[in-house]
Amino acid sequence: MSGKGRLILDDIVRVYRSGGSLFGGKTVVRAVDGVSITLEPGETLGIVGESGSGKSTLGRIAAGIEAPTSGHVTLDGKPYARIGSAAWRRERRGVQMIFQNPSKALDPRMAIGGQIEEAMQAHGMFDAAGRKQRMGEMLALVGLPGMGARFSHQLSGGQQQRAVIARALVLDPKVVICDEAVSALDVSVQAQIINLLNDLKARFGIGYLFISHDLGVVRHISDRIAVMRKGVIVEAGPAAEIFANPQHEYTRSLLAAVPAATPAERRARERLIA
Amino acid sequence: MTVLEADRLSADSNRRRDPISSRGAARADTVLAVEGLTVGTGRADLVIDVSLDVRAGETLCLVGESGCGKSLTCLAAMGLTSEPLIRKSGRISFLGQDLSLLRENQLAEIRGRDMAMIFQDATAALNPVRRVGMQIAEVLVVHRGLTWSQAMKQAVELLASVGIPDPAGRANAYPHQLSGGMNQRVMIAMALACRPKLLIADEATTALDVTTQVQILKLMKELQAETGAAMIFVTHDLGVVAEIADRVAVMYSGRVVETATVDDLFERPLHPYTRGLMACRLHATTTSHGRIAAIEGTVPSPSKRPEGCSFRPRCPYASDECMALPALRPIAGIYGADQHRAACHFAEDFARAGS
Repeated sequence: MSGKGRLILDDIVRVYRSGGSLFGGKTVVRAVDGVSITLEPGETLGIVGESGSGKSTLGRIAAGIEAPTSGHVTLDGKPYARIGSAAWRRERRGVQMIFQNPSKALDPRMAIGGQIEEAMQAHGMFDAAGRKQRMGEMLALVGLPGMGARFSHQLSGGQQQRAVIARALVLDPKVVICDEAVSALDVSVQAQIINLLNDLKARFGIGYLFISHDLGVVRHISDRIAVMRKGVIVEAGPAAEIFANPQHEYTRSLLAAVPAATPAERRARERLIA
Repeated sequence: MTVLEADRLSADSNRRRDPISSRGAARADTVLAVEGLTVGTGRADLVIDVSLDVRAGETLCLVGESGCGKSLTCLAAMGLTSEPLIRKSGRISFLGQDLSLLRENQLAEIRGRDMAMIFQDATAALNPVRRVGMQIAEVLVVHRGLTWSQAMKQAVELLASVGIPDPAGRANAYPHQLSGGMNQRVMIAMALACRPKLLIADEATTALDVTTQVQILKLMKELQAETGAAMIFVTHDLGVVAEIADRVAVMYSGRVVETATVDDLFERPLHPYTRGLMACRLHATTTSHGRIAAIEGTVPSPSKRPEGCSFRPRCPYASDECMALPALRPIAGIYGADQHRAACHFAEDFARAGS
């Protein structure tokens, strides 16, 4: 894949219409309402927001699996092809997506090695022998050496997410959209997966759009952070700065709601309020 | 008439129907005591030799990874285990009475009235085809013998007490018309309808946004202060533990590996698993440079636990001694030793080293 992998979302709007139904008139939801972001090559951009903020919709548009109502997405200056077209299918190789629930993202009736090979086959990569070898290398890289014959039910949640990551990264994507990719994992495993994502980023120069409601996770993985609320980015900047010196009232209220790190910290905060 | 006043009025009629308060309670303020509980299937034990107790007005947090047996311990405590799960040994006493001596209909009477449970997914736990007000009122009709009109009136008051705006209007809403946070408030209102002596909250705030979570935690603390209920709070989030716990029991692979007061646990974690959990937290107020601390490996499957200490294969301190199962015991050399117990051969060393 050529190009450096700069992903630009320009003035993205996504409107959902519902209704005209039994009860009342039509309702219009502006899930994403004029968002512009740039993801530099090899950068992790964290998108934080509460449920309903439009962050997942934005992620699907960035991944090219959902079309914006208006606005443009370009990868290395090239706009996304029409969804469903042959060109669009080829382009998918450059942008991959990792979802929250790995057990639903994997095919329960196919061994994980086969699923990784199938992804390569869909994009015409290598011959059969080459795919098998690449699959083995990729599984070793994500910490599942020699486990290609396993089915997803034979893996733990953390191992399943590793398999999903292997399947996404085997295509050499330039950008990976992670939508709550570690939210369903136990804390000890969550840290393993974040380390893995960071190692792979350093090695392959992938850019991550990391969508999460967990401010702690986002802080520790992101270079830059954008805070989303009701379809709009209310604040964006370097991760450390957003947390140290939040400018927008909503960011401040999010940070204030984060549980205390220790009981002593909680008491200090309670004294402050009282 | 407020809910509290209504409560006092109905307290007498409650007492007559109470199969528990007629017997003597062991320790005055211990609400639930679990001793040596083992639960499992024919093939594997999922909860092993767990002992816990919680007093009135106290919050005990059960912490651990998925599959460590924390939810199952709670279900067993409520007498809700059924085939293929078997309670293999152990004694559960609620307000001094052994629950295993009660018949199912007596248990059903206690459940929902004296002990109540809140689950993670409130929207799934509520009945989708009935209005939320009716669902709360039903508890009062069944357990308190109120008439439906009395119960509906009280349901509205309960909705107000859990901070739902326009409670009379919302009582007529169906669960799908309310947000996740609102539904969780409805669940809490339902659980508190009969002023339970014990409230078990199983990951009750895990699915909620942080701003909603902080409101629900605050609400639960306020309601507990008001009612003096004992609370068991199951969570995997140490931030939530820091917010709400008085005491903490850390579980790993079916066993309790450490218990301590919440301050002790955060200041002096003595089990390597607890120490690992503390180290790999990603908190919004801290920064990490480069790699994040992680506990390598995975939790062993209950049918393939390693010999000796279950945490041994993942433990950075593991040695030959760990082939023998360490007992959960009071750790000498630290303040309040009888309060702080850990199941690690090296816990005394950690305590001496000042953690």
